[in-house]
Amino acid sequence: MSGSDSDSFLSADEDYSSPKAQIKPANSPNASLGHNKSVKQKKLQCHDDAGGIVEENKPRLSTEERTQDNNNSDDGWDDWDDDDDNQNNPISEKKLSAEKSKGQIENSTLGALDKAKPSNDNDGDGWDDWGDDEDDNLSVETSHSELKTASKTKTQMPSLSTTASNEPGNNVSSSYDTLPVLRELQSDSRKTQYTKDHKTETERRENEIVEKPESSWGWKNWGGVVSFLSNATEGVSTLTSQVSQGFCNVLENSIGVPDPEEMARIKHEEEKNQTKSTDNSGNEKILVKKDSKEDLIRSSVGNLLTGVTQIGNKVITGGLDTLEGIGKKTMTILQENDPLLLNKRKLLGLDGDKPVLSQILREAKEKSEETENKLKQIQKNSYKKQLHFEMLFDHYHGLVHLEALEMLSKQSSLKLQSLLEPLTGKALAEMQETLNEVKELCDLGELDEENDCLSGAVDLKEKLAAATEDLGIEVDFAELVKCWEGNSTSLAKLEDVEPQEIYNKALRCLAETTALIVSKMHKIAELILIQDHHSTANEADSLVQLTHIFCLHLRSIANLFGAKLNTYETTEETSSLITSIFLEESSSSSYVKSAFQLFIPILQMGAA
Amino acid sequence: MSYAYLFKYIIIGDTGVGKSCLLLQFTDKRFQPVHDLTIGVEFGARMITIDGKQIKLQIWDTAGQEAFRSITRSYYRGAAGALLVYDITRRETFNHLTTWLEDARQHSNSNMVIMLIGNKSDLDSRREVKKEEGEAFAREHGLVFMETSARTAANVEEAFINTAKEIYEKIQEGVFDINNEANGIKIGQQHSPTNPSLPGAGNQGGSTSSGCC
Repeated sequence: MSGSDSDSFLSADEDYSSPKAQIKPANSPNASLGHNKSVKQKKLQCHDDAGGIVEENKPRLSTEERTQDNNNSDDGWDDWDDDDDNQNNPISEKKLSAEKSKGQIENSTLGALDKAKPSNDNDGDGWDDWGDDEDDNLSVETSHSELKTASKTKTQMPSLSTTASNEPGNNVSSSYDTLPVLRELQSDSRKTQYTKDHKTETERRENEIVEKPESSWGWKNWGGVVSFLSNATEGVSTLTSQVSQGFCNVLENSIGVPDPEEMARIKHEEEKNQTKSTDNSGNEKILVKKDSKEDLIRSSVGNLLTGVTQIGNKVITGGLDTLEGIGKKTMTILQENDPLLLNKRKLLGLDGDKPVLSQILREAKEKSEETENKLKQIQKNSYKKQLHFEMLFDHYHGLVHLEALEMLSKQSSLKLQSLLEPLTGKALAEMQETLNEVKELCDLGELDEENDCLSGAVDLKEKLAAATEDLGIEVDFAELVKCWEGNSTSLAKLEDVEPQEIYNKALRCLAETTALIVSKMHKIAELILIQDHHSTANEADSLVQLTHIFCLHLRSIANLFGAKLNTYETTEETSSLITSIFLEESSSSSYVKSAFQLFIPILQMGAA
Repeated sequence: MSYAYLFKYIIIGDTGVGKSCLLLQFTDKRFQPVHDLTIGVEFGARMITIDGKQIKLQIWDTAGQEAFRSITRSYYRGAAGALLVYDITRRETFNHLTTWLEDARQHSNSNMVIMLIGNKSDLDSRREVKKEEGEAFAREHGLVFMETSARTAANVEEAFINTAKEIYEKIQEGVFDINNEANGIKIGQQHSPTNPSLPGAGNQGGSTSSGCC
């Protein structure tokens, strides 16, 4: 902000501002009426700019015109006025150019600058004017930007322009410097709309970019942070004296520290603009342009500072809040299932009695191991007998048939579920009823009809045939009958053998028979599943009967071997063996019954 | 009776290719020229020794008839190995392999070892499918291939045992989770749980079969 800067600015201004000066004369005489003209002229000028050479010639002439105009209208501050105009010119030009580049540059100037505006009108001394001019320009631009950035840009714009046109229009003589700017503003606002509607030509842009740096000098000189701040405060205090309430309101809207967010956004936009302009103009030009923008930013440092402070405060308080939150959360997690952190303390070895505790634990572990070992041995002894039967059952493929039957049952259940899923309301209720009916049909009832025994292999064969009559499936029970025949005849032949051997034979026979029964049931299940037509009631009935016969058969076997053992002298050994045989018989029966239970979903599938 | 592992096998393929005969040859070492049609599934079991370990092969011999397809599919689950059998004297049984393979892959676990078997190699005069074709098919689908004869017992043992070896190798590599019975592998009672993780000293070539239990 040195004097040399201002000099250079002025001198440079003469050349560069001239295109703008050309507009000014047209505006100044009839402020209120002329603004329309000025808009038009500006538009014209924009096109002239594109022309380039024509423009070169115009400047000086127009500057002269301007000075004359000023002299006529003004109160004798000619020099100042000139200077003002000069200064205004570049600024307005800047504005124009800014407008041309869709007014985005003004966005960088901040609302607080508006405060400066009213102060202009009171200023008697030129120095203030200088600053004021600066402020004016700033303010106008700022209000511009404020309005623009605010969502209501378009609605507010006209109101501003009208107040501007009315108020300054009355005080043309006194507030000469404000006036042009306001006019400028009006025209600019229109210009903006205009340029918004029509895409700026590249050439025009180039011109602007060349012009801009010059105006930026002015910013440097007059737009000093300090001066602008002081002026701003002054401006606020004297706001009401010169300007009407309406204007004041409008300004007030734009007064005040901008939102940090908005500032950030403005900056961002500015950067965007820079990148945009890169597309249209050369690199050097962009550099210059950047400078001008930096100046703009500098002028708004005051606002930035407050903004930054605010952001800083926010960041600090936010950070503290977050830390506090994390701490609280950690404590809650730590205290989960451990309210007084006792376990965690132990874990970290914070408690003094740690060695004692581990010792206790070790002792307890040893004790439990001892008892476990004892239990294991007991279990092993009792398991051996059971294992025997299981091994035999597995050997005869009983287990694997049961497993396969289980797989079929599971598959059927899954299919049933998928059938039920899409059903709703009545259909679902009906389906469920059907399934329940099938389940009821599969009630085995009381199986324990004591003393009812099969008289022999033929009896077994006949009963099985009768049971499967209605099944609709031919099942061959020959193996089962053969097994029974073989075992009963071989048992009859047995003489003078150890009771243990009879027991072993009984176990073998029971295991084989059970395995055969399960394999037959498995086969029946497979055949039912591949049948096209089902009479579920018959199937269920047959299966219930079959299960009864199977259980009866197993009981008959147990009776047979038990009777054989009874012929021996009643000792502890024989009686325990007899008990064991009936125990195995009941476990065999339970295998058969559980196999029957697996039929339920299979039969339900047939019914569904 | 005790075993280190139990492997579940399934035998699949068109009807009449000799699945049940292969099983009978493997488990009973006998050949039955006329075999009843298998209903659903039949079972066979045999102990073999691999790497000094007793392994029980539990073989599910499925029905080849189309009618049983829906049922046999539900048995694929939880098989560690599969023998996919075709008849070298009947071209159509070879042509159906793709369908069988798709079925098997879809309904079984992905690690299942599949052995392709061209059966009835003794009937060379009636051969319709060249050995090279079988080899090519196996290569294309990542299967192990072998031609066997259930009648002469040629390659029957090898077919079952090689499959078991491959499964065993996969266990050593950790591909199979032996604790998951859905993989078709059960650990026998004699087996201590620390052993399976130890790498085997390589498979012994001449694994002896202990005969059917």
